Amino acid sequence: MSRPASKLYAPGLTDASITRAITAPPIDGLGPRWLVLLAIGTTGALVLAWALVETLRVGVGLWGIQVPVGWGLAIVNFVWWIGIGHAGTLISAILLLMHQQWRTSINRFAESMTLFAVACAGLFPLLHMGRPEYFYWLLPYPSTTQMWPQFRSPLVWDAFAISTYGTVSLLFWYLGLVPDLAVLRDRARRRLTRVVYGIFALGWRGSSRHWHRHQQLYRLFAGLATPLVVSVHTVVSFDFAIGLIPGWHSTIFPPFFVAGAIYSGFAMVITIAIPLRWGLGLHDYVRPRHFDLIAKVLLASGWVVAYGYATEIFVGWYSGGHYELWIVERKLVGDLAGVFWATVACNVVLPQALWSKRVRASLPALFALSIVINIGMWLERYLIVVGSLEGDFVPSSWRSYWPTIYDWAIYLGTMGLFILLFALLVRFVPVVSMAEMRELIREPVDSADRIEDES
Amino acid sequence: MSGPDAPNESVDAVAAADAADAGVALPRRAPGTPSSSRLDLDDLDSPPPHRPSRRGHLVAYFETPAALVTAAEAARAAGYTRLDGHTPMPVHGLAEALGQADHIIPKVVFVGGLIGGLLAFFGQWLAGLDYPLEVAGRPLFSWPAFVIVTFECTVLGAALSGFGAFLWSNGLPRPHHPVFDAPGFERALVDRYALSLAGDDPRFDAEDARALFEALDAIEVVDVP
Repeated sequence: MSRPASKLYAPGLTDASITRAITAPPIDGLGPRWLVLLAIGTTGALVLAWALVETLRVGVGLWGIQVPVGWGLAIVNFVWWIGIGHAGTLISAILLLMHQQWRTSINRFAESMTLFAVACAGLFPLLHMGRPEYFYWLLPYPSTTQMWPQFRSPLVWDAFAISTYGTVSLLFWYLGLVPDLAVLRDRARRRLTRVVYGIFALGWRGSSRHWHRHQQLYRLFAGLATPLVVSVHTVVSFDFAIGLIPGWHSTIFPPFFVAGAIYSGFAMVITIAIPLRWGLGLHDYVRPRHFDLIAKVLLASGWVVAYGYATEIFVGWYSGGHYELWIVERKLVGDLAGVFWATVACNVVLPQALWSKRVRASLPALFALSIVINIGMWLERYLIVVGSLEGDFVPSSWRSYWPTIYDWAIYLGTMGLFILLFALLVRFVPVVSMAEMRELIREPVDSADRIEDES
Repeated sequence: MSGPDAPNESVDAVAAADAADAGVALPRRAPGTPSSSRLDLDDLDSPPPHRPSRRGHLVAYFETPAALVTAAEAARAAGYTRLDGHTPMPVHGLAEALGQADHIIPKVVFVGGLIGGLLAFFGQWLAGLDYPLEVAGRPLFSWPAFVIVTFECTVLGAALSGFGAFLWSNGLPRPHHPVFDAPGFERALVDRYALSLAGDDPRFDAEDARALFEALDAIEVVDVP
């Protein structure tokens, strides 16, 4: 065979070796490193459970929210998690439509990341309502009160956008998973494992008729998910941009939020991919080329985010509004300067190291940068949510916001939940799409991904 | 209709009535005689003898996707119709070779999206009329504000109906299928490419089909009773 080698997977991969490697964790289990991960995740989830129970028992008065800062850490975390949840569907949908081969080995865990991030994000608005048992008031149903939701409100749009995004992402993820679950069903050694995977595999038998419809639907999902991804953070940005609070009422918000979402999402892909590759031995599937390309996406989306910061400041100045000018002043030199300049350092200055090929090739450097960007994006959302609310149009009500231990416990707890869900994923689900890998190793190698012959 | 216990009589009665209208005399059958279309047809122009349909499958395994597509085309050309491919990944051109390439999914997705979008758009409009919220004299039918929920519901309707159509049209979930009993079938989901011929194919002939598949470079042909 005179096939040129690809930078996207190790040479010599075969159908059998892919199947053996990818089905090993679900079939044979994982070692002590996985138990450590599980323990960390469980601990975090327990912290979350405690904070949730206390919040439900006592109420949101336990949090740091007050007047005028009614949207505290809960909304910061909501926007942060939803943003992270963008990369998965972007990788699986937009890169699929663009025939980018490098999506193949990373799409499964990136999509899973999306689902888990959306699950974490969804908690916050629910709790934030104060009376989460009435969440269904957001949905249109013929109620005895004879009232309907206010469909002109971005908060109702949000409920539709997030629930649609979660549902479509789940269907997309599951549709791609069905053929792989059938392989697990066939390879399971214990009857219970076989039955459970059998139920979720739906009786998949690789029928060419089924594959034909599977591929049609998969591509249609990609086409549907592409505008959906862009719409979700746009709608989240409307929660702010439709409001009149200083620093919020700006047309830059939708693209700025979408770029920020892609930025933080891809950073999180790196944060997850590096330990996952090490822990599961995925070196044959996740290659330096993948990290190089993700780093380039980071660099590009990072500049859109930087442009957003510049526009925010310009518009604040150009509007000439007293309060708009004042929030710009607070960010540049005032009480928000610490957070603002930390955001700029994390999201604009430090990531410029990605111009260097050496940095893009160094996993420790990439891992550190991905953490820095995740922190930076959280600080950015803190600035938007808390910074603006602290100084609204009524100076007599200005008040500084301080999160309480419950705010922090819920935030850290969702990270624990995220880790726990990931631990369960790597144990029970193939983290690389086997069916798509089998296709990839047969496809012609793109010239950009070709490893030049030494001779 | 005379009920489920006497389907033949009632069908015959309808046929007789139709024939009478057309002025044709049907051979009369004494009541209680088992009605068999075979008996009637034998008197007429005799069709090719119909093989008794059998259960089970003949499954042929191939080494490469290309060999499977070639075999699928050849088997179709030989007149077999109840064929199905079984592959570990989508094989380009296989559904076309087997005449399975339909477009039910895109149609359902389109209709589902349309229904979702229309319901959302007019639902919001009606909700605004049913419970009017008048803000600063703005119109109750403020359609630009309805665009987002309309879009989300279009996508949701399309995705849910598409997934439903995928399950329904493929007859999934179906935990067991006779081809699973073929020895070595699990490899057809890993690194083999299988072609199955159902026993109820009108032209089914185990020996002929086996010879055909073997001539087409099948690695192995197994008979599942």
